[in-house]
Amino acid sequence: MRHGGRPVQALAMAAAVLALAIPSRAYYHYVHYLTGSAPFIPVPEAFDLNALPNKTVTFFVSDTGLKAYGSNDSFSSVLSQVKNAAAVWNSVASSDLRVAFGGLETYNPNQLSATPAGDVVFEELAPGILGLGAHSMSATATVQTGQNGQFFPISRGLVILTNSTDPNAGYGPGPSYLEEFYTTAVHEFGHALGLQHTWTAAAMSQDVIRNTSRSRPIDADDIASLSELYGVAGWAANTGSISGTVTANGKPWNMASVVAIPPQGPAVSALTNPDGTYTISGLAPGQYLLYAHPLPPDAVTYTNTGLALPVGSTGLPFVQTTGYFQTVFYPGTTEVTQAKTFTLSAGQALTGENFAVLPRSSPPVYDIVTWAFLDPASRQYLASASTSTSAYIFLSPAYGETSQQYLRIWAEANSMNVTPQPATAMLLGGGTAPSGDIQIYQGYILMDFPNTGGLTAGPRHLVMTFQDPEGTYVVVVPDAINVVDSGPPAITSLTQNSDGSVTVAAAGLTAASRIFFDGLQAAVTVPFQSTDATDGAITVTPPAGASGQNATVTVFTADSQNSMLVQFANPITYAYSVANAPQITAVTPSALPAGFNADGTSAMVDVTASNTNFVQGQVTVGFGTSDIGVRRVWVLSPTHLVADVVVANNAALGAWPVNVVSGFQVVEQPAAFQVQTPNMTLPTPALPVFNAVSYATVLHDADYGSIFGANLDAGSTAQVLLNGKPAPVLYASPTQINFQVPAGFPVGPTTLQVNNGSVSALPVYLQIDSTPAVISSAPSTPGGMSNAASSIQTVNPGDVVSVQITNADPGVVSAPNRVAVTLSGVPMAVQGVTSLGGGVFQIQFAVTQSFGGWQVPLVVLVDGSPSLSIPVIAR
Amino acid sequence: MPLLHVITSFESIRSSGRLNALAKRVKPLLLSTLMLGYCAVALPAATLERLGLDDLIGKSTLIVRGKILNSFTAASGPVIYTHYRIQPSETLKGTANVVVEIQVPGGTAGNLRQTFAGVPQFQTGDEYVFFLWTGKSGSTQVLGLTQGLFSVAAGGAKDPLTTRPASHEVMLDHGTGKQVKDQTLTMHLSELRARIQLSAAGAAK
Repeated sequence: MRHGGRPVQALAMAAAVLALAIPSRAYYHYVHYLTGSAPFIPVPEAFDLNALPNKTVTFFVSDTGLKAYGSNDSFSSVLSQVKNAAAVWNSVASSDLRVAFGGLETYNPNQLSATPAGDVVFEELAPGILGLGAHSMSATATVQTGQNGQFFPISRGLVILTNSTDPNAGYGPGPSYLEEFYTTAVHEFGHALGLQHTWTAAAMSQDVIRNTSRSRPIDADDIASLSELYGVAGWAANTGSISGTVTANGKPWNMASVVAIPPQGPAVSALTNPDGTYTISGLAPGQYLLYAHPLPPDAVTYTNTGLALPVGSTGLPFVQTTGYFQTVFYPGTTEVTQAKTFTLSAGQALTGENFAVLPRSSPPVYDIVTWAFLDPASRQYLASASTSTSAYIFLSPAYGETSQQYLRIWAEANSMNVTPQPATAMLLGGGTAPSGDIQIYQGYILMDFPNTGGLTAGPRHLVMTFQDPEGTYVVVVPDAINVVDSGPPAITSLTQNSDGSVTVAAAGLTAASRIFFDGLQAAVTVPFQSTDATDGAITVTPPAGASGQNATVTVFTADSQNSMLVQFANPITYAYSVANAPQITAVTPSALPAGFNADGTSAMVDVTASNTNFVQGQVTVGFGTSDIGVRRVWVLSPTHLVADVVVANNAALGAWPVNVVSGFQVVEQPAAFQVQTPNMTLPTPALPVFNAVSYATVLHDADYGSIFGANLDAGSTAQVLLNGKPAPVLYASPTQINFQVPAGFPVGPTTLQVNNGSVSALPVYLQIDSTPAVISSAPSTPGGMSNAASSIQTVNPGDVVSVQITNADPGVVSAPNRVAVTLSGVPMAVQGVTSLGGGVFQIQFAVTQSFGGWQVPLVVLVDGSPSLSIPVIAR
Repeated sequence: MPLLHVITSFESIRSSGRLNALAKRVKPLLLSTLMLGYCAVALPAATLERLGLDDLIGKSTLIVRGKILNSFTAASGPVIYTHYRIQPSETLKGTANVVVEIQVPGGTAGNLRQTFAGVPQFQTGDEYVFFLWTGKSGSTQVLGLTQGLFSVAAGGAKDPLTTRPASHEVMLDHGTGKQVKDQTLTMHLSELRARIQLSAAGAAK
């Protein structure tokens, strides 16, 4: 169902004005057009960042759980996958939207939260359906204007997952520890955040061409899409754009897909507007080919499955232009070798890149699936006729190895009944020659691409041409094959150590490998150590487990492979010991007043428990409502934690549960917390507290801090107490207090309490960090050291990178676990710390995943204290 | 993400380094039901498992030809469902009530509108052959979104054409676990009826 009408004249004027200031949306979201004529400025459905606490949309998981689980699967495992799926979208540095996992909730129609958020529920989905994603919006929603332009506000995101992971149930995706469950959840979260489908092999890609994994959970297209909706100020400055039109016989083509694709690297796409215009934004600097292709026949169907059509000012959908056209590379060729190469730099906008396409009656082929065969014994991909009688494993999409004489791709197309034989086929990106040997066998295409040398690892795009009576038809399959240096890893042993750690030995292990217990990554205690040319071991601390849990252990490599490819029939498991049931023993305070202004009511909440194993970084505290936002959690002991919370303005009153998810432990206490009527006399300091100089949210001893809020100074002398002792106040007003952390103040969490001279606010927790390390060099790979401090280095998944820091405790050399490195907030695999003398330390870390080729922040943390970030380009 | 399918036997092939023998050997194995373990593929929009016609017939608890009578929406927890009432004109499998009610996620309830991409929306009067599944919860759904829908050609022909549109969704072939693409199926209603009867008879043996 669509919107009703709305006043269009004023909005049309506003839209025209905004069109001059803000680039047109380049991506396909859930789109509305406010006018019935050009220019067509798409207005998407998106969360209102200003309505979200701390610009965070928090997803709560239904505590009903699933009806049935597969072998060794559990609700805890499912939660871990959901949590990580949310974290993927939270890691987009160019997006101002934060995505959080909020723990459990119990849906109560009589006690609904007022704050926009998201829900993850488990439903009985009919056979054939494994997951769904959506969002809710007021049926009378009106256009809002935010930092990224106009939008219709989403009120709630919704992810529906199957209520059974039992493979014998006759429906459902199987156990949650399989990678597909995780990537399904990532995709559905994307819908919940306002993203629709594309055809670029990214997480939101439609059709069979998606090629994502735990090591590449989202790609450039997804990042661009999310940034279009929620980008931080200036997010586009590090990227470029390409725009133009698509016409046929001089008439605009609505909903044509235009794709910018580097010879090797992720593609980004956009759909044309009703006037044929398109803009592809969020393109990382580099070289691109550009092609326009029609949507496949199944993109928009008469049953309205497929894309949600854009909605016009009358509330009726804009239909796509009927028919199809010949796919062409810019400037209008079916020969990819004759396509123009665009070189794009940061901030550059290429305009007027227009396509005049040739209509045709139908595409002879669309929706290509690729696959390959893997020999589980040798862990090699089949690239030629083999004499082996071993069982072969079928994988899709295709894989091939850099050392092989040929890259072999099997493919199938969704034509009516027969897959036609391609006339030509080639892989972009160099290292291979076009396939001279193309066979078709009862619907399957088989292509061999000779390895010409210099073949490097990474996904490769496939370009095929087909001939039919209407001429040449080009089909581009982004990321059709994953080229890897070697086959997937295989765990050879798990060794329990006396200190509780586990040593995982595996063939095909690398420094960039990650060890997962079900859906949680295990913390490394001893980094990768090779045992021979192909094998090695990593020692980890298993995540906090649930009693009696059998967790499936999987090794994930940075090249999108994992040990389950060869070991799915007999997964390696780790048995957690049986323990007493965890319980929450106290919640203090157990009640807080609702907020009465935009700042809400901030307070620290102390939670003690029994039979728990709280671990810093693994804990989520939730209250079952988005009206109580958890800003930060400090783990004081395995059974004791403190959380800073904010009770929202207009929060729903009444009793709410308290739940804690720590690792795989899930503990909930119903009705353990009360939201009471607002206390209008309270000072309301807002969280976070800012560093008055850097405006970061990090404070050290002797730093100046700024507290914002309301009613902070009643006209008398406002006070700021740190651990009960007054801190110097430099400035005070009802809405702001500047204070100084005393020199020598101990590192760690401290209570902060504001008194406005008359009334004390509720205390909150504040972290005083140790003096941060300083990144003193650009990161470098073994190939060379960058000498230009301002140059932006590029790192690739699997790279072992070195970065130098100063201002660190020399003790980190012998205790490298004190050091963490993040890219875009995602922890990387620290391999070691060495002293270079003169107070300079070198940190080696492995890049464990892809970031779509975007510029992302690199941060070094020592004892949890973050450095200032430096930018890197992460492939 | 990789989709897994295990082939448990593979005959020796001359090491020609080329395709002919390989292609001929592989195909029969691909068709064999040798899937060990169930591996789902994370798919766009809805995550779908491919259901061939025989799968649809086998998994359906009810197959009816009918028209959409009307619809209403209702919330179930945080999910809004649109309930469609179908008036069956013919029951091809199972036992149908005078009116069959199915539910599809999405719709508008109260002041809230939920949009699910990939979920069918029907209009009053639309005629389909519906492949339906009633789960333990008692709710009836269409199998695999559009996979379980065959549109009936308008015009009142005695033996109309029925067409299942190809879905845009990536699908996993249930038997092989192979990631495949859906195919548009068009056949006369009599042929579809015969296929259903044949499949049902085969299942009964």
